[in-house]
Amino acid sequence: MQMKMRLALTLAILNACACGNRESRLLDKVDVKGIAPLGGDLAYVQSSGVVQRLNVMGVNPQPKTTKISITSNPRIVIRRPGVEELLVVSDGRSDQYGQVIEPPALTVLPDQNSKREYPLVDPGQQMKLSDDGKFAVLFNDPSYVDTTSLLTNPGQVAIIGLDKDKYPPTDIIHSLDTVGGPPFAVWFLTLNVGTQVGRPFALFAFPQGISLVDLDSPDDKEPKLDLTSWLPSGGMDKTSGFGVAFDQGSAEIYLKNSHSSDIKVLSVAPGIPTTDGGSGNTVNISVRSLTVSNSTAPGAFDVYSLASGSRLLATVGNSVASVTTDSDTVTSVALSTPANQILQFDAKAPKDPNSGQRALLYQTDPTGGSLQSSVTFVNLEDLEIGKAAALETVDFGAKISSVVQLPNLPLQLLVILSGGGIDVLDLEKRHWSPIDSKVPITLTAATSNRLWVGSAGDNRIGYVDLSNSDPTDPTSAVMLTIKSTQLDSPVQQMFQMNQSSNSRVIVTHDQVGGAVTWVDANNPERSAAHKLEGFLLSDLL
Amino acid sequence: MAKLKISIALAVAVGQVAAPAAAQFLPAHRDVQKSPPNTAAPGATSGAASSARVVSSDPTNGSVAPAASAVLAAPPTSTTPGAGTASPATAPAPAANTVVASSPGVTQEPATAQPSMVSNQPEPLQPNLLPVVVNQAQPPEVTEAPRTYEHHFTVTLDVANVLWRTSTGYDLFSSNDAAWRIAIGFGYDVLKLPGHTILAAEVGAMAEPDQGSNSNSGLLGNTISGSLSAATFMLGGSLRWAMTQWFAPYGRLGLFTSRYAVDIHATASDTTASSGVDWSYHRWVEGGSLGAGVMFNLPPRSPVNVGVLVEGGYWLQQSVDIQLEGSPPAGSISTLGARLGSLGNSGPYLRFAGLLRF
Repeated sequence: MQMKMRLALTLAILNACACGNRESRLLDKVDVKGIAPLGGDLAYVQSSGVVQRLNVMGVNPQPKTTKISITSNPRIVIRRPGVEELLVVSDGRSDQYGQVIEPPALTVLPDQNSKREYPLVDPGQQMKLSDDGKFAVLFNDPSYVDTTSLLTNPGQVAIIGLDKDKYPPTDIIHSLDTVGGPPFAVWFLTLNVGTQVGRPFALFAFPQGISLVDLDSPDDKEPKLDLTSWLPSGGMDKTSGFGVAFDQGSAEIYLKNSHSSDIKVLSVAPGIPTTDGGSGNTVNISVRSLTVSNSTAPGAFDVYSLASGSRLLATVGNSVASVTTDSDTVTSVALSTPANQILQFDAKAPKDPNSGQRALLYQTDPTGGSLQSSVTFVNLEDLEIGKAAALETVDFGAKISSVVQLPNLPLQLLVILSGGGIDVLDLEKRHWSPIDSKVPITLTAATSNRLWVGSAGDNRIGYVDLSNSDPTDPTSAVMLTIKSTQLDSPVQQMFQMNQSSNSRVIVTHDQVGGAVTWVDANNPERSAAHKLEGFLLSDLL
Repeated sequence: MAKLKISIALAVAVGQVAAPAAAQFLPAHRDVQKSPPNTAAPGATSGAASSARVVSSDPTNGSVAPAASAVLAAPPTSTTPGAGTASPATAPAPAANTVVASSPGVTQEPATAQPSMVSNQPEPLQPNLLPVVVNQAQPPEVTEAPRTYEHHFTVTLDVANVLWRTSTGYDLFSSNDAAWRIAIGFGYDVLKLPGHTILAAEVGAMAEPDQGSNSNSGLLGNTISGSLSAATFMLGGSLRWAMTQWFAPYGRLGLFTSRYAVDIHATASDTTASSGVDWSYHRWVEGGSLGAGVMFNLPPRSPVNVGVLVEGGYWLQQSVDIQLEGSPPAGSISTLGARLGSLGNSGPYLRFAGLLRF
């Protein structure tokens, strides 16, 4: 026993001599919440609020990062459309008693190593960006559970003009006059209201109606509309098939839901100033209805313009309908394959050497139960007269899981098949080329004439070269060349990045400390590839 | 008469030769008090006289003269009658021929106890023909100073050797700053300097066994772990001041090279099925140390001596880069791993060692 006590005492003394503990920062996990290209860098946004930027477009690979701190607990990471900026929505931090230590914020990271922060009121909001990247709206997310605050205002939204020179970073919080509950969706519209100049609006959808906010004057009182009689009992939510389309020139907004065969048309007109000198509503809204079908609710709809006026194109069950919006005249043509998606494009057609307005109708289904193997081409300018002659069906022989538009190849569609494999569909020639794959394709990127595909978790990336059989004749048949490049680690995400003369495919790997492989897009050989790893831990110790 | 003179002369001559030889064969430790005081008489008279071992006596009273330390005191009981009439020829014996006694009055053992003195005994003299009184007839009883061995070699074995690494880099491998090591060293005293100062050359080897954190160590949320081991080879020298036979403070300067082996393991991600990753590499790093300590050992009474030493000092060594670097198989994509930081190896050290000297 004495021996044991002596031993214990000795160990205690030795331990006391072995002073020094690990720094607490070494105990925190590197928790990456989002990865996105930013300039020539790949930005890794971590839950700690650290953004580490790895340069992947330099001449020499270097596994070093530059760091910038933002508000902690980022939840949404989105690249701003049209502008080289990254948007990060962070929830901030509160202590165990609910005292806010860091308020939630939207951080804008420009290409330079700087930031702009917009304070938010509530954490856990969802964000919607306008297609042109000029506006961001943050609003209530019903799926978020706030564990700190007992009470929140679900009608409180943040409307942020992202052009820093045009919109000040203050006065971004607004309380909406809700209609039957908090907003569940928002659409961005551009309408020519009283002028030929488009004005940006945000349309908020509530369970029992909508409101329209003028984004140039978001402080003005927004007009709202109660649509209870048109909506299903219990109101709308994300599953109600609520949809919005608009015609900029006529300043009309079209609304649909999956419970009504009618389409509501909102005509937006300039507001009338109030007698007390106030501006009142900036716009006034009048409502009318279009009947697309006697009993069936439209699946998808979109607006197109003809010389004779605006038309509404809608898929209704197994048919497609063209509706003259002025007269509510409906031209309905049966489809051989049902569709719930509409993709409009301008292109030539095999039998029409002139470029014209076309549409591709296809079906998607997240549950996979109603997928189809064929798509329908529609010559929009000929639909009302030619009817069935304006349609052309292309069958892929396998059910279509999704259709991907390629940013650099607007007339080539990537059709991903549910059973594995991809097809490249030429929208002009309406020709498709089957490419088999034993794994589901989940990642895509495109260079000028090369389409990159990958599957998350697989070690390979593949590419499809699209080139004309006669390089001097762009109308000659497209030749496909396919090839795969084997990487050393499973693929997590894939980005195609260009800077000056460099064109690279950047593949990230899910590895502690971060890992990427950069592949020369013009010379996609392993010998020309480089892998960087552990850069998120660089200079950690 | 002439025969007598020859005999006496012979006896003196033999005594001059035999005395140092006898002393040389004396055991180092002898319990002289055990010898009975009268064992030398009377037979010892003739025996001792014949060996003519001791002749230093006071001619006046026959007692042994306390001449310096080289005086053999003859017990009065060992004198024979007529001792006061000692022959002048035998009276003052040269001090060089005396056997050293540690203290006056120590009784000698009988001469018969000394085998070396039994041999070559001349023929005994007839008492009636020998009027010489030899008052110191026995071989001298000597109590020597304890024999001191001079050791030149030192072997040390560190039972506790700790280096304090305070750099953050070491946090990857340990939850505290103490690096425990084991070492063995070999030294040789190459130069004796004035003032009991000794310069020694040393070689040694040191091992730092696997110091590692496991995957549950909490590092980066239990996603990374590392282990570190090192082997060090040293050359050095020490300057020791032998204050006493058992205590010597010293200073030591060492030059060394170490081979550090670093292993880093990243666990599999929890979001995909990707496997974990391992990085492994080694580095050679040079350095030096400067220390001071004290050495304790038992008095050097035996050919092999034992002791301990306690030493503290500063270990100065280049840092080692902690790099995510491995040996990918041939044909792998060119890979560059990040530099996590550096492992600082400099810091104070303390060692406690056992030692053998011979």
